Amino acid sequence: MIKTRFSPGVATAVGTIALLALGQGLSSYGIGLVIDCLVFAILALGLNLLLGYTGLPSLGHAVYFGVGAYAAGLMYLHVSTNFWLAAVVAIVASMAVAAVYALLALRTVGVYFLIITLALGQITWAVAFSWRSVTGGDDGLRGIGRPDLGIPGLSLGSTESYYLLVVLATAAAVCLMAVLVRSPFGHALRGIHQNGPRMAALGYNVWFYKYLSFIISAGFAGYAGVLFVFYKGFVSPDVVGIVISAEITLMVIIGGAGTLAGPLLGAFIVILLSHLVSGFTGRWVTWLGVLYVAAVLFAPQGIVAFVQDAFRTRRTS
Amino acid sequence: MKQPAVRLEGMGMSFGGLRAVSDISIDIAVGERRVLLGPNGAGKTTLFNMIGGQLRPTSGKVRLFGEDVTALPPHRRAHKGLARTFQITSLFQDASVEENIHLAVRALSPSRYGMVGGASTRGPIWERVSTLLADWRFTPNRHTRVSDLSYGDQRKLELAMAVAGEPRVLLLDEPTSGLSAMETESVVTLIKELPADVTVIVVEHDMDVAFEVADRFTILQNGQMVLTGTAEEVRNNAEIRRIYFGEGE
Repeated sequence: MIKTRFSPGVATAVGTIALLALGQGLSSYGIGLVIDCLVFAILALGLNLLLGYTGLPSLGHAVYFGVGAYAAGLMYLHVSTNFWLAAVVAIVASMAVAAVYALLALRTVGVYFLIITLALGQITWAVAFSWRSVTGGDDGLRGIGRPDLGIPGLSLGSTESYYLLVVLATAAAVCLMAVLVRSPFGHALRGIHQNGPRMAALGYNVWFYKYLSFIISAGFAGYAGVLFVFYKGFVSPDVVGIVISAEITLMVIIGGAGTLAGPLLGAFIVILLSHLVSGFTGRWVTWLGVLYVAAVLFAPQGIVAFVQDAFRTRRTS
Repeated sequence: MKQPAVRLEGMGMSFGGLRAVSDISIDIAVGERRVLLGPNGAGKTTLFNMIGGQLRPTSGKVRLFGEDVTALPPHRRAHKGLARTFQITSLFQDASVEENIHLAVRALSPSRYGMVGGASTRGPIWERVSTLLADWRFTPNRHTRVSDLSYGDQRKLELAMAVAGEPRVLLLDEPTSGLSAMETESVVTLIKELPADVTVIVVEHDMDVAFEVADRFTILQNGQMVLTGTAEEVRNNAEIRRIYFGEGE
């Protein structure tokens, strides 16, 4: 059997260098676009742990992205402009919200899990929308500047320097996820995805694995939220909404759930396509639907698996 | 008297209005090989699921080595030394043979929660995996996907995974169903070669297999226990012959 396998470490290093080189050649609009792609890549990477590896289809993952973004924004506006402090607080906040929501969501499986995560997402959206004194309501939080890295001589003021931060942050997220999915914990998640009752009979606490997976997945989303808010400089309830939740679910499915490269690829495809389509029409969500149908019809296992299969048949025939 | 390995006290299970199992009390001694017999629908698998923790009985208690485990979920019972196979092959179909065994071996190790080191790193876990692969003659196809294995090999793998954690009590739900005569033979040998202190409870339809492995039998019909006894008692009991072998009608 021929396997097309890349070491994730090498692939990440190559990707990072390529992105850094790309940054030299792009306009600031182009750089902004790639930052968007990378932020969503981290978000999709996180959701993939839950959806692809554990087999839990969360349709409310924008919640943890939003909580991270709001928490980091509030930290900047009210507490400190230090990046690291804001990042830690925001990630912990996302994971804390997930720790509560997961208690509710994990009482269900399958389509009910999907519905309850969707409902929790809408509740959170409503909170962001109506709690004006904290979140600014539908005006959102404004006036969030670039944070302070606390390293003398390094500033995040320019888009180029922020791009550098996001590229390195993405590389760190990919490495972290690669370690996680290769660990015994990651193997157990795949076992649970395939056959939960068998895992339980063997001695694995299936519920607890799902719970941890949910929380860690939310941590990645919160991390993406931090990078997002400090790039955009503002955050509104849209960030918590169903459209983003659906988009990231699609990124994971299109790219390839349960693979490391899939969500990254999916994020680039969906984001770049949305920018392209927005140039012609306002009906992006319709096109998102078309894309989803096409993916399910032609590459139900995602593009990564589709390409791998194509390679395999070519080499064996 | 020594503590029985498994003690069922007045076990009952109802699904809605249907009583699948009612008032079953059995003691199974440490190291005993007990075969559960009975026609389809007698409640054998329901009883198994109650011992394994997949089902919570509506009445009665399960004790493992004297300890009441009725309220414990399956994974907690596994850590107390209980392992099982399933009637319908229950494996990780998309994973390799090696990975199936690995998950089974890892299940009882504290390292199962490890998030940093790679799962494939050499160590005692993988030594045990290699030993099991060799013992069960899976070494040549350790990288084969389980879904590409023959049915007989899948049943064998199911057994290998059940014994991977060196259980004290082993539940085997129809281990020879669907196997050829030769495969059945090898499964019987495997069961007989299990360490003497392992308590084995087997649901079996093949009477030849049943008589070969069992120390004692428990016969169920319509969710009730009809008889617990030795092979001799089972052979000689007129009512058993009627209900189970369909004689004298």
